[in-house]
Amino acid sequence: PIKTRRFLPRRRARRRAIAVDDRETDLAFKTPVRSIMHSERILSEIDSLSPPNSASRNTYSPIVRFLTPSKESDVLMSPEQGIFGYDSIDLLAGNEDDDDVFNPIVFIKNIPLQSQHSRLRLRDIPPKTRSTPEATLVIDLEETLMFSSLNVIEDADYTFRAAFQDHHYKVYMILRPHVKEFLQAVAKIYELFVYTCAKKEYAEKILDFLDPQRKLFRHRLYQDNCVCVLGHYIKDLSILERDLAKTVVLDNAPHTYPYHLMNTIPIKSWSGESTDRELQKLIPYMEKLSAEDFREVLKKRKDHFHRLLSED
Amino acid sequence: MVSSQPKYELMQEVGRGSYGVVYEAVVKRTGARVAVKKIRCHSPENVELALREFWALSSIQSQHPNVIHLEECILQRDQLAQRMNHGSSSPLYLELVETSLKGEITFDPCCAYYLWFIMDFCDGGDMNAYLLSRKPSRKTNTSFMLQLGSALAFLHRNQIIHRDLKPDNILISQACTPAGSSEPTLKVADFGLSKVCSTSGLNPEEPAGVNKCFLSTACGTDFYMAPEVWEGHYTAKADIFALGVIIWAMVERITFVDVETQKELLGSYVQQGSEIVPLGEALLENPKMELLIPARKKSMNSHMKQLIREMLSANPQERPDACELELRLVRIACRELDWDT
Repeated sequence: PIKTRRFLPRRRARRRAIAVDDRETDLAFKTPVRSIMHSERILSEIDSLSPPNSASRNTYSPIVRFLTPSKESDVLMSPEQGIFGYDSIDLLAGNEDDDDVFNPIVFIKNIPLQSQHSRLRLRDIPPKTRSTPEATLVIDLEETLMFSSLNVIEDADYTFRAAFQDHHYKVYMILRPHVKEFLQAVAKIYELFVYTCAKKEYAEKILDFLDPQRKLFRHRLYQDNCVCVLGHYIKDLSILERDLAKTVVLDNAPHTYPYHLMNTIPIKSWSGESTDRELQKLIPYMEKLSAEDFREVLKKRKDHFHRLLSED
Repeated sequence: MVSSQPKYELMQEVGRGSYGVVYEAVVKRTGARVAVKKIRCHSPENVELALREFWALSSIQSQHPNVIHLEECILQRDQLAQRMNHGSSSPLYLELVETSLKGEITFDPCCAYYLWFIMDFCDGGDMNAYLLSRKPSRKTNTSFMLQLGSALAFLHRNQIIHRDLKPDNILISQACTPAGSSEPTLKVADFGLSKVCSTSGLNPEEPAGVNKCFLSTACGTDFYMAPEVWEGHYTAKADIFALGVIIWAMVERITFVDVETQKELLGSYVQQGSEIVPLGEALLENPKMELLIPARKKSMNSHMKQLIREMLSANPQERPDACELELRLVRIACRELDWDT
């Protein structure tokens, strides 16, 4: 008996289910991203000698060059470069998905409606108590408050061992200048959350250094509390169950809050500049903000973001 | 010079999955055919899937005839390519580990980052294609059942939960048919959602935490999902449920057509009015629901019926474990052999 599969009432993103013969659906899912992605960045990778037409863009994408015999002898090639055969150019040239390079602005523009992906399981976050500050500040870790790397960082502030699968890795970590001063100051006037895309075990190690007595951050949210959309983790403020008019986010990657852009204060990504003063400069702003009516401030921010997004 | 001659030659594209493309290739030196799976590491989700698959395939030290075998893995970044071992300390590999730990791409998104898996080539397509293009045969069914039971017992013994068992992920190799047998060899493949439990000290019977956000996008094969998986809990017993759906559908040739792909798939389901509902979903709503096994009279013996019933229990603890399952399948097969002769 052949039955037709019914339409699923609860809408789940079903990338694997449709993967068998999914060119059309897959394209519908991704086309907007791609069409905007045809940027100079790809073109800049093209061999300058090749004519700038679309056919050559396919043929000379970096991946194909790897599989194509290199006529430019000055290009550095590893000894393993000849792992795959050279007759495969036609095979690989049609991979249109080789073209999309992640761009946060385009990502935000193309984000599906929030109702289109499954809701997160609610985590029981305790409500505010009387002694909790009225305003809520949600802070990211990586490149906002600190920077970590599996590659050696000379003069690292801390090192720790992180488990991944069945191995341990040594992680080097440096703190952004004035981070402790900043956290001490804002913890007095905000209910602090940390919300990171990093895995729990990893982020906890970092928090052991930033907040060893667990006095600064009242709540901690990790990768498990993120939603995965278009292959990227995003954060959802609605699981906090806080008044969004009283909630601000400090994050170096605003695209991780595509549904709450107007709550986000973007901060420059930090990866080690010792003269950085962003956090210090933010302290008076954060103090002033906590006393203001957020809605007014946030509206201005929202207008600003809309202007940014309408520019191409 | 060794390096002047490429090791493999890509012949043609044979499949396009959710996170990669699979090519048929030839080992130049021996002429042997291999499958080459190319995974683009351009989003945290793809990196996560690729590293999971790599871990699972690498952790199977002893080769099992019914589990896809990883020949080697090559990591490529732009024009640099390296043969890679699981847990390597190469900077190329560390970049992927860091991406997975941080949940965000840590390298320049413009660079071409790919994992290439070189694996067994399966010339018979997947289980859907193979079975549905042939007349139902009890002999084939019995052989497939035994091979699947053996593969799953092997995986669970090695602390690997597959988590995405379905006929699409079970491949057929006609070339490596064992001597004296007319039935081809099955190979369980696609370990992108698998979970290796050994290091965390987890027993495969214990619930493994499922990353909910991960499941929501990556899994969609709801017809093979156990009821508890719909709620986000996962143990090795969910693999048993999926295999129950597959075996029941195979024995009675129960299929449905996926609307989106128009593809006919092997899989049993529950009929509610004019709609068909995945077994797991129906059992989640009503755990006491009585399944109509077999769907057609006399299509299976009482032992088989009892076994499938147990495999599809709403309660994971009532399902047999993989070891017991393998044993019972062997017993059922022996009985059938007695009848035939």
